[in-house]
Amino acid sequence: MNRLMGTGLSMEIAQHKILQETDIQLAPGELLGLIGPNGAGKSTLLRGLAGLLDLSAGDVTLDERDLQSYHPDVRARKIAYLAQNGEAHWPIKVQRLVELGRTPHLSAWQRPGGTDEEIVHNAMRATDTWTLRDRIFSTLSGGERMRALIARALAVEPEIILADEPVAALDLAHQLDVMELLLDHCRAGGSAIVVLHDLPLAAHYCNRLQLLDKGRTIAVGVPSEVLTQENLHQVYNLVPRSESFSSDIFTLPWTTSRSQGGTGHE
Amino acid sequence: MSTLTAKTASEMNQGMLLALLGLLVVSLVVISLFIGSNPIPVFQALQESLDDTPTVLSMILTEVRLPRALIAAFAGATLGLCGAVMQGLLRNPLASPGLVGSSSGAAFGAVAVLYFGLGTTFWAALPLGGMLGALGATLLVYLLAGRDASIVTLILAGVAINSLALALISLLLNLAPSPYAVREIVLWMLGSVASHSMNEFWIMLPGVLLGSLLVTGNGRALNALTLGEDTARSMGINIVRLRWQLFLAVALAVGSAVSITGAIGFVGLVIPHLLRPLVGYMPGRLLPVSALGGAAMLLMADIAIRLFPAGTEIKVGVLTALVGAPFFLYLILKTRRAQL
Amino acid sequence: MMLSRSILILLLALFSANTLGAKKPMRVVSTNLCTDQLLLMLAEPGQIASVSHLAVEPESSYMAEQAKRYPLNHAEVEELLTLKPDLIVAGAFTKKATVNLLRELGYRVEVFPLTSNIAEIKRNVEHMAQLLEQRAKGDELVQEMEKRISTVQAEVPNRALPSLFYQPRGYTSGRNTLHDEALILTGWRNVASEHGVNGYGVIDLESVLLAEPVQFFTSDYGQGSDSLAQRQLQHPALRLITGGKPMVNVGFRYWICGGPMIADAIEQLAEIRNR
Repeated sequence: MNRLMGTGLSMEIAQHKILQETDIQLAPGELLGLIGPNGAGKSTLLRGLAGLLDLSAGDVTLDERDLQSYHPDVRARKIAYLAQNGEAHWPIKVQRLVELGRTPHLSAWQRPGGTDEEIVHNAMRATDTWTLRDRIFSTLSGGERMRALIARALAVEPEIILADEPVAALDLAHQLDVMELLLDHCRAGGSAIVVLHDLPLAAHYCNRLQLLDKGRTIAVGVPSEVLTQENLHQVYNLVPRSESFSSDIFTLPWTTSRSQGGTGHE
Repeated sequence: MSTLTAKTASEMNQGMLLALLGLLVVSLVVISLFIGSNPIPVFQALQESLDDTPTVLSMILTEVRLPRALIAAFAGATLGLCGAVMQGLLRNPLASPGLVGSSSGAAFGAVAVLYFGLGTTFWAALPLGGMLGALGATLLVYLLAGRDASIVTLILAGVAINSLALALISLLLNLAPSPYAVREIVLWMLGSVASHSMNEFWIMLPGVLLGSLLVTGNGRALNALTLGEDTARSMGINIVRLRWQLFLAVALAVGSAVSITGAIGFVGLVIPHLLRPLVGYMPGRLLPVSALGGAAMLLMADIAIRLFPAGTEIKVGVLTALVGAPFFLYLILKTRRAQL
Repeated sequence: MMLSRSILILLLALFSANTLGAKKPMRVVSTNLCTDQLLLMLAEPGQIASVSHLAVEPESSYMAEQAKRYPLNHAEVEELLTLKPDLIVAGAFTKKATVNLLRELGYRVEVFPLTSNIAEIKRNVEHMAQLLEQRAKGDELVQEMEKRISTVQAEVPNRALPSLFYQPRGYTSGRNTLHDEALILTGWRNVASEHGVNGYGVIDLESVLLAEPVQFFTSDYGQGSDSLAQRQLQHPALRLITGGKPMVNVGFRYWICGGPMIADAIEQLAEIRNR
């Protein structure tokens, strides 16, 4: 059973084909990496799956039901979307920002209650942002910001997280942090699709990868099947530096102390 | 870290804040009843107004001071609320009914209704004209500036539409066979709450209430918009519907208020700004707070102009502009610094 | 010595009267509504070359009908010159630059002052009559005006009642205005003057109500048009304070320029007082 599935997804803007008949599947517990060069259609595909885009053609189903048939609130409770360059337009506190994740669960008049507070608290503990709760979001460092935004997404308690380049502009340690958080979500039964540029990072953390180029899927499968010499040459025009190329070289030689030690630092 | 948290130390409990502001507004209304061009025994007037036959004192209280206070309170609340709505919706601290053309559009709509003699056809003609004018001007600015307009683009579009509205108002008033034309222009562009009767208050009220009703319940959506349109939509917010609903709400409320008071400036800009830190910068929580704050500001301004020596006729809009314009400049400088 | 000097003065006077008589103006141009009306009242039809465009507006001109027979001007120097005037009569509001230029070009320009009382009206009428060589007509006009006013004065009750001229946006006429004199002549007290308004000014609604006027007058110009300013005249308190008596409109044309037509306005004010 697929949790989220797209079939024949196409997007055309001003006769420019951004996405062409792309299929995509996401299973429960799975962390799927969307990779490909700039302009490959990764963000468009992700926005289409999030229901943020009126696709030119194709169907998206969530839990085997047409995504369009969901009430926006219901859909919003199942899918959390992490936008590229996530920002806050007002200088709000981190805790308030995370609380916004409860939006789909509250009616227009409702204020967050005790359970909501607990969920927000948990999300902030999981992302190590509880100590930042009274800080103004815009004053945080890049890594702290991303963790807060992930906490916001986790506060939705979604089945699926769709994250658009969440590690862009982060230093290596913070990149690993973010990937660990997404992996935690999937280990706990959720699933996620994450757009990435860093191939070793993608190979290390993702169960499966989907390689896009010019709006088409070039390859999909476990990292070793996707990150082949041929595919990389075709899509990125890359050639191996040495003859002993194997997808093993995408293994990361390090990990965060947090995941190593088993407990988070608080 | 301590300096960063200090920035939000001013945040207040919402219930407490609303209660305090509500109390302030009620006190100002009462004070407003006590202040006029002539000192009158207000309690005696109150007693007399309970009798059937009107006396001079009761008339001054119920026919002059009461409508003045009520119109100031409701017009101020409208401007404060709509300022908060527009700033939240456009995620732009400089958006306000005055700057994005709603007010001057409403003034033009009302002047057109009066000029073409429609004002006497039925009571709602005047506020309806104001509403259409406000909606038209707001949409024009929005279309001119584009959806994700920068602050500068939005202000420029607003300047253009404001000038156009002013030109059209002047044209109509100059065509009208009235020696009061120039004074009318001043009234429409600066605004005044003086010398109205309860009739004008009743004319203004339905649009103001309807507009406010359309705004309520959208606080959650405005909060979510803090994280950008995509994220807000991913959280179940229907942005298109939200935008139309709020534009319509602003048009209804501002159109009605301005068609009676003229375009009173800067309340919608200053008030949301001053109060935002007190609600932790949450656009949704800002809405009711800003409405009360707007009412308080206009009431205070209207009380202040009555403290000037008798005979000097200063319009309340003059005072709000004197306070608001320097504040506006300060905001521009601040946003400029933030962009550097 | 004294005698010879008196004779000299007399001779000079006779001489100048003769020359003036010989130069009876036959192409008089008026550039201002106020001089228009005096001219139309006093001149023989052949003496008038042109009146201002406002003279034909019935709202503001008492002589609108009569003015229609003459070419209209807009007080622009060029059009005035083409009219070949031998006398130009202008008002206090005529542009200084225009008057100076016309004088430099050798035209005779007479500027009439504003009037804020009946004595000044008489002076203006007499001045115009003298310029037009129509003294007899001028005297007749003044005498008739005075006769009508004194008749009215004799009829109105002695006790003066509070009243007020109330215009859109709270404008009113206080001391040293025609309105003030007319009200006082016809058995009214002027609330605006008592409130301290001098000339034309603003009076606030509360002060108006506190004075408890029994009658409101207005001379609203834009009758029939609608504006927020005019809506102020419909304030319910204004009706309540006078016990439901409607505001009486005494036309704009009686007041905008001082002239013998003030007698009409005075008769109207007295009629209301006598009711």
